[in-house]
Amino acid sequence: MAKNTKLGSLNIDEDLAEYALNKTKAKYAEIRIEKNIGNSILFVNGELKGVEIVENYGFCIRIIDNGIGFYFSNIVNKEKIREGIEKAEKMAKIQKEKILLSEEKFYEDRYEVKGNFPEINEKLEFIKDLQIEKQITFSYGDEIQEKIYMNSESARIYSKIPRIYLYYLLTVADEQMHREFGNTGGWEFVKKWKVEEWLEHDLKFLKELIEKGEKPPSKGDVILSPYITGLIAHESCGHPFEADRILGREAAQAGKSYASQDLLGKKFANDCINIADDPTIPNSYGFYKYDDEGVRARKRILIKDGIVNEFLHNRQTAYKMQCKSNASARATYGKEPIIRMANTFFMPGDYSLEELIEDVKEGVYMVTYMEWNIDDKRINQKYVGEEAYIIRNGEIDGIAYHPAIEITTFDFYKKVDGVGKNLQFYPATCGKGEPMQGIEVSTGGVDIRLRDVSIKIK
Amino acid sequence: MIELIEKKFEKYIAIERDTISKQAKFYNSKLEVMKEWRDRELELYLYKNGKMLNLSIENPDKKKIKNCIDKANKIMDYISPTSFEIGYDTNYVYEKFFDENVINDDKIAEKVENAINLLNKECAGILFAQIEKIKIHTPYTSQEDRNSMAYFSIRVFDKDSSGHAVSCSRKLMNIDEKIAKDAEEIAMKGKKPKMVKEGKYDVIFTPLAFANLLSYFSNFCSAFAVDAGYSFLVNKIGKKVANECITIYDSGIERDGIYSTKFDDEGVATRKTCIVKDGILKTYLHNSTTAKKHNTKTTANAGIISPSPWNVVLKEGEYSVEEMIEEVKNGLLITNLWYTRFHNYIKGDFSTVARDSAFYIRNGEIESAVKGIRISDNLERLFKNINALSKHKKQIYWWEMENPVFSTYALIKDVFITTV
Repeated sequence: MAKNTKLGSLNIDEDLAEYALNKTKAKYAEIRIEKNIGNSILFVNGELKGVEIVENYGFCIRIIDNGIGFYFSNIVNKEKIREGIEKAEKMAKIQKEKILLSEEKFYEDRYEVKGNFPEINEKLEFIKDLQIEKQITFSYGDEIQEKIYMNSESARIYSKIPRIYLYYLLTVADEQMHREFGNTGGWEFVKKWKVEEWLEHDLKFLKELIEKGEKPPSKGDVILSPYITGLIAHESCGHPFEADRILGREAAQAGKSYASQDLLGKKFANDCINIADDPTIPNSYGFYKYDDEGVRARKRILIKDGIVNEFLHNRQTAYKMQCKSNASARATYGKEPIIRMANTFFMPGDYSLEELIEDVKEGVYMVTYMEWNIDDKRINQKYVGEEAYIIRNGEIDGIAYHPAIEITTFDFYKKVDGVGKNLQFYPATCGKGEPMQGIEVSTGGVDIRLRDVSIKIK
Repeated sequence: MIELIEKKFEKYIAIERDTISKQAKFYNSKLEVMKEWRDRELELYLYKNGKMLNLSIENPDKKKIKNCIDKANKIMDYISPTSFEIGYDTNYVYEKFFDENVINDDKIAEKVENAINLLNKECAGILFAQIEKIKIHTPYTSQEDRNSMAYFSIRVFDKDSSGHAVSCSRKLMNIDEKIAKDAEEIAMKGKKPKMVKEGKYDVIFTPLAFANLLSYFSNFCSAFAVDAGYSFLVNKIGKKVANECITIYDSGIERDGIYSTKFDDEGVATRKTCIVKDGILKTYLHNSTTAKKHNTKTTANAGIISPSPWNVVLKEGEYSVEEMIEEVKNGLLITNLWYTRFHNYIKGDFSTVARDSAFYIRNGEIESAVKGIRISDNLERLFKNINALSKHKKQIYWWEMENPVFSTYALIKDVFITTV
């Protein structure tokens, strides 16, 4: 590690990263130095509850020398980095397990997503203008994340990524609806989100739900919107296809998986199902160009024409499963890189929403959800509709009062017979790791039709 | 630093935290990674002209603090007014344990290895330990405190069945590796599970499972949750919210409570607060700002924006676990819960998934292991249907929980179970 070319960070002392790598004699070492500047704002029922400004600056060292030693400090200087190296080297040797990594091609690169944020008064005015005469909580956040990543196998990456996010929880009488907005990028996205229109829509819907909501049929066809299918792709395909989960690394926390290495290449879903996870979608909430092991990101096709195509890998799981990493190692500030999704979605098919609906004799169309969960092998799952409609004889014919589907993953993928063409993405924060690493992802997809499903009421 | 702040702001809170955290993570019955975190942080809440701003500074020094204060002064011109109160109560309790050695790498690794070696089955988990040194400065007080905590969480697998156990303490020596055997026993008993029919069952929750529901319940008691639409306890003070056998405390002063702390984020002395007495909701959890809004006094649970529980303590009941099982004619024993999600916070409608082994109970005896269980019900209804609590109580904390809970076994009547 003796290159002298500067990556060009204005705010991070990259010489410290070089220093760390020169200091260690371990078989493998990596260092990540991060600087994040963030702002969050909370309004409850029109009242400003909090404005927070956070500035993080810290480094993580990961040493692999038999086992793994990981060290973080937010005191960034040579002395602490030397201490971090020594401690991580020692911790790595406490374990008996011999960890090996896949061989990868590494790059020296810098990339930056454009985006800035205005002064705080403009942010406050924006949220104030959204206030309505109802119980509503708004949570706004923005962040600029700068990062230098280097490893002892020649990766040297500088990145600068701004992110922006807004969430609201709306209460009308005793009904509730929440909605999230988020992108990598700057303030320009605020206008693109059209939050006022969504608020107006949700307000109107909740009033109609209270007045006109009716019991859904107990059985029928179910059409799920991209808002829900994105979540399903994330929960029932993305998570179980994380190779660390398959190999048992998350067994005591986020759980195991129904998938095993034997599932690769096997028929899993109907032919019309294609699911991808793609970190490279510009301005998506889960965007990145290199993962936190320095591997260049690419689109991952998880299910292709109903067949299991690939899992999500870091270098450790790739070595164990004798393949290459597909750049799924991601870390939040101060935490170890673990396998994460980025933007997971059902890939488009041929149907318009109208075409999916017109072929349904009786059923429901679920547009949004509030409650969902899934077991820790990712088989038994439940989704409860908030905005949902009854379909009769090929037409929307009333508002469905909280229809719920409770279904196994295997049944779900066999019951899909129609896949829409209207692809949409929604931001989310995915939870995994201990301590918890909530990371930015998006869940996306298209409308999907399932045949002959049991429909419950919340 | 304080002089600088005092000159420029009418009210302030400055919290300095210095923490060292360690973790040993193991899976497939092998220790795989050891981790260490060193955090030094200053959190500032600054208030003047009716406006409040919260800033965090990592590894603070005079220059950073001065820059931060200058920045705060500029920003405050633009932000809207918000209420901000700081309480005062220096009746500090000094009973909690402290263990300087809780973060000893070799002892942490040894405990994990000991647990793994006790087992014949596959296991995974972590041992996490932390020491925190904390100072607080407000216009009314300057105080210091130090805390230690550790928790050991282990899950054991016997092919497709599993069991989970935890051990929590402020002292590393009190972390009990032998809980690994408890988790193994649950896993081994859970083999060959059968499906159950959807419907209402009397359910016995182990302390690990019931702590999950108690943690959600106690967080719904936060005045912030009540005001912001995240709680079904709106306008329920003085009303029945649980069966009369239920008394719940929040305690910042439990000797071995892993979230015990001398003072809250306002410097106010922590205490033991009765949240629910004999089934009646007595108070929300308050900081001084929410207390003023609700015309009451702080319960020393700041969180400046959102009050939150420290250690939740459920008053134990009179039953042995065997007696509770004998009470059940058609029911279930659930050993763990996860993925608790609310459809509607203000009604308390939710569902949660039974995790690890669960069992069917017929006529007072455990008949078989069961699988595919989801509780789809209402949290207030469940708390009102609690029928019995055990004498046995245990401190529970793990990955799934917001805060530690001293929980008993609980028998709840007519719990609605759904299945796929």
